Amino acid sequence: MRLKGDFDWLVLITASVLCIVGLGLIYSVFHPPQNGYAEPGDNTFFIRQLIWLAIGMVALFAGFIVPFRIFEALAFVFYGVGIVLLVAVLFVKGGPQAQRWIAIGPMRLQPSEFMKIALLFVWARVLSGQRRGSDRSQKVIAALALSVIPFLLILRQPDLGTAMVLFVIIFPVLYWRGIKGYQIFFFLSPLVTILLIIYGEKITSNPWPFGIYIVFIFLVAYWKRSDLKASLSLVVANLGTALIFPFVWQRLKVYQQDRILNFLDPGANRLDEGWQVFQSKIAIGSGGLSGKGFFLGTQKALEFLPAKHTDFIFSVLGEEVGFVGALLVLVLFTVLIVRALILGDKAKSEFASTVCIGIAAYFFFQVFINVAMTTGMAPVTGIPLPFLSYGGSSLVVSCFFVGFLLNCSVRWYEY
Amino acid sequence: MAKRDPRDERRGKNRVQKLVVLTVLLIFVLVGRLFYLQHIKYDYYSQYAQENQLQRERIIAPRGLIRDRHGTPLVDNVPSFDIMLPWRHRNAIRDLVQDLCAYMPLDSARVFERFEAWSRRNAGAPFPLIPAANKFVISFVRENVDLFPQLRVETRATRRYRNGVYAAHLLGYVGEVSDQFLFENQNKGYHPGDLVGRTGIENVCEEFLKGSDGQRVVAVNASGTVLGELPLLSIPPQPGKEVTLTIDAKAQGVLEELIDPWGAGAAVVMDVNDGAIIAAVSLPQFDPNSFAKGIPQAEWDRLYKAPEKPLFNRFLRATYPPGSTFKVISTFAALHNRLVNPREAIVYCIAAHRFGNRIFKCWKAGGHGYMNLHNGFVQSCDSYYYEVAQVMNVDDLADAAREFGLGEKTGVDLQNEAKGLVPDRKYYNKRFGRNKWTQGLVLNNIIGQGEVLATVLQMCRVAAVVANGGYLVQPHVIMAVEGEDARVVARKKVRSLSQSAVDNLRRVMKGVVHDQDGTARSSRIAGLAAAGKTGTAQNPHGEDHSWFIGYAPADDPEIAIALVVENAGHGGAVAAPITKQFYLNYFGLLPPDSVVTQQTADTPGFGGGDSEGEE
Repeated sequence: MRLKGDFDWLVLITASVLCIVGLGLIYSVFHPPQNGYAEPGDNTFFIRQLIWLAIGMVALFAGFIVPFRIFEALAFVFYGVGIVLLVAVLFVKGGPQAQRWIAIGPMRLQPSEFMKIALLFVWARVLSGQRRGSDRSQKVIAALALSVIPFLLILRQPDLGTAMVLFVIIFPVLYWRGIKGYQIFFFLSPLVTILLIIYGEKITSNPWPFGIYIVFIFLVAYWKRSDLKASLSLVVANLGTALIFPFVWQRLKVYQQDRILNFLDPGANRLDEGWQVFQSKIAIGSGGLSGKGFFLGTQKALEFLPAKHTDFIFSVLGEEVGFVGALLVLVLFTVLIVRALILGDKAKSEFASTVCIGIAAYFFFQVFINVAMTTGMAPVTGIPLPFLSYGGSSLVVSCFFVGFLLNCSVRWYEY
Repeated sequence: MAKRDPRDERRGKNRVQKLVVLTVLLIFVLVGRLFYLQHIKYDYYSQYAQENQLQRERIIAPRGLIRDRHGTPLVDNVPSFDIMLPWRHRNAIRDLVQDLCAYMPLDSARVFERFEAWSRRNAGAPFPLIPAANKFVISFVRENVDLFPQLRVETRATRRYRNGVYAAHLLGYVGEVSDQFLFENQNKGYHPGDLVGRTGIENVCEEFLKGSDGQRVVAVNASGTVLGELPLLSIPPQPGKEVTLTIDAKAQGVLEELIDPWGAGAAVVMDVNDGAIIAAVSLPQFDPNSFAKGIPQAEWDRLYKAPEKPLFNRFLRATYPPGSTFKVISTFAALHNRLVNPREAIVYCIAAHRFGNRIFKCWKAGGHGYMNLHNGFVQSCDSYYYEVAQVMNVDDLADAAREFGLGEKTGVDLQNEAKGLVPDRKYYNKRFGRNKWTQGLVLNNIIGQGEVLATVLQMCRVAAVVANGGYLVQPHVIMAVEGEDARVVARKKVRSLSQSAVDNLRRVMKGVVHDQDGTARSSRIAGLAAAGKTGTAQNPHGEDHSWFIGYAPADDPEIAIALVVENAGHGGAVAAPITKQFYLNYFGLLPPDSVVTQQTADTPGFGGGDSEGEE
């Protein structure tokens, strides 16, 4: 820590402002303007969030002060603990949606959030290393294999949203570790094909997205025609999947098909979800450019704005501070993400550098999916907004990541 | 640790730039979306946030129909009417209820209690002030719109069990969803106050029968006037799927009627080849319609506490000592383990059998005389089986019973099936201690009278195994869901049951009905060869249970039957004649003018209990 000037104040300030905005919003949610049927002036969640913030500060400090090579050494210990907690959570029953939490007194611990730290560490550990080139594919396979177990455990809870975030965070990290963008695309494209076919045929009966996608595949294949093998295999893999899939689908029993469809598109829930999203859009839309004013949102008081202190906190933000406020928050997140990318580029240690990129990916996907959900562009998945949503685990993890970024900012020269 | 190499760094610069650009671009998409919602569509959304409100009405999907194998509807829906109070008028509930009380009997405390629960769990949805209102209430509310402008009459589909007190345990009933159920079935579209299948097919097929609810979203202004419907958010309900059972509605009805005069009993009729259940009776029963309307507490208490246990499913959950019907299995065990030569008369029955220092009695006063296997079975001579039991290993008998599917669930597609009990060496060692029990227990079990317990369903399958030549079929009642075949036809061969053993069993079972001295000779039918075994199960609580298991036609079996009539006496006197009457109906052998149930002469032979339809 010789170079005090390297301390990244911007990251710390951005995160602090976001935390304060979050606290304000949670306070506002439980203090509706007109004394409605919502319990007036309930401070429990606000106080709990304050306690979590205190814990988050400890996590931030820990992430900052502990040299990152210790994290590198302990990566697999983190991973083991995370897996144990994820298994434990499957056996804990009680309270609604108990399968996502482990309750400690009034506080609930969500192991899937902490698993994200462990995964970033093991990915970084596995993917970094002196030798490169020949054994790169082995490293990638190892990193993917390490993700499979937590992915399945979280899917089992069941928490499709969180599992998907785990799944997508790895791709920017792989990209950073030298996998080419189009390789990632090749790998993902058959999955996209299956999803688009199911959505196009079974759920929405709208074949256009799939058609456009196939045209896009051909364009990419043409663009990559110099690598004929790769380009052909991309076309074959996608068309093959599209051709074989209907037969595989028919072989499935009806209840198995139903299960898959319900999983991708919780049908019975659609009533409630469509309603939730519409209410959220009303809240945001009616906020206008400048908002109705802090504490003065009206939609949040309506009983239908769901999970308004957790997953839908952004709707309250949009309503009360309007486009300008929401834009400001998005800018803050963008600053944080870009700073994380730059710190990742600057760090000399491969491990630290990779973790920084992972952190940027984590913040990006959480923010993007959450805001897309509240504005009606993505399905409702239950992904919290970092720093703003009520929920301790997410807050503590985000704080820890900020600590780690600061850690890298002052130790960038270390290996 | 690992150091980044300079080439990597050069590439890295490029990559960071790309990632930053990608991030900013995607965030810009979100900003654009926000701008669209908050500026371009501002007027549209803010109009909903002003005095105008959106109202959502759930349209409950009608439950799927239940039909029998021929398509006859057994369960359908009829409209019923609820008096609803829209959520926005909830503050008026006290005055409303007070006013209403002046015109009709209304338990206001109960209404408030329900409202309390409703506002805790289902806030926002219209509150059913008077669910399932009668005609008087409906017309009163409709005619006095000026007095009660807030109230609405809503139509809802109520479950109707078309035949009333009929197949109640099989069909099951619906009831208001419990908190536990809601908790375990989150995200499946259940709401407090919904009706769900509680027992029987209603319960097992809940996921098919339920359907998915729809909704209607309307914009309403502050004074409550509907401004219009929002078609984009309105979703029509999807009715539940139709479930077709393997049950034959007529056969079920006939069998119920035949057993009903005797009070309590159970019966199962099964297709011998695929295990499809044609009738499943448990008596006494109840009227599932009373549950569909929301059963009053007093009525529930009465059913729940009645000594004859009308809510207890006797064909599925009751385990009885099988009595002499168990001799089908005993005979198989004796043949399989080569303990007897079928032709050899091994015993001279004098109505009592000495084993050690105990006397085991045969049921027939005076005894049967010389007995070989055929006569021992046909006349149900206990002494013959006592003789066999002396040399039979307890585990061999238990194995034979298990081969026939006793002691474990049949896996029928109904809930809470009983397993019954097949005692073996391990069981006795555990219960009495090692070497603290004697072969005497086998003597009791071999005549189905010891610790062995079986359900009627299991015993029906035992008869089916003999009838179909040795296949343990899978009993089932669900034939199709929405026209799609849902049958399970898996059946497995009873490994140790040889063809010669099957032939022997078929011969002796036919003898029970057709021999001059068979215990079910009174139930012979001209023109229909039948086979079976009577049973008379002693029970400590009263009169013997009357058993019969069998199949028909004997030479080309179609159906197997098992029935037990509680506290009715000898199997040959009650259960067998009921079977006869059932066959006459089922195979269409009744003379055209005859009535289904006819109580006539009493049977020569056993006990002196009345029998039905004696010629």
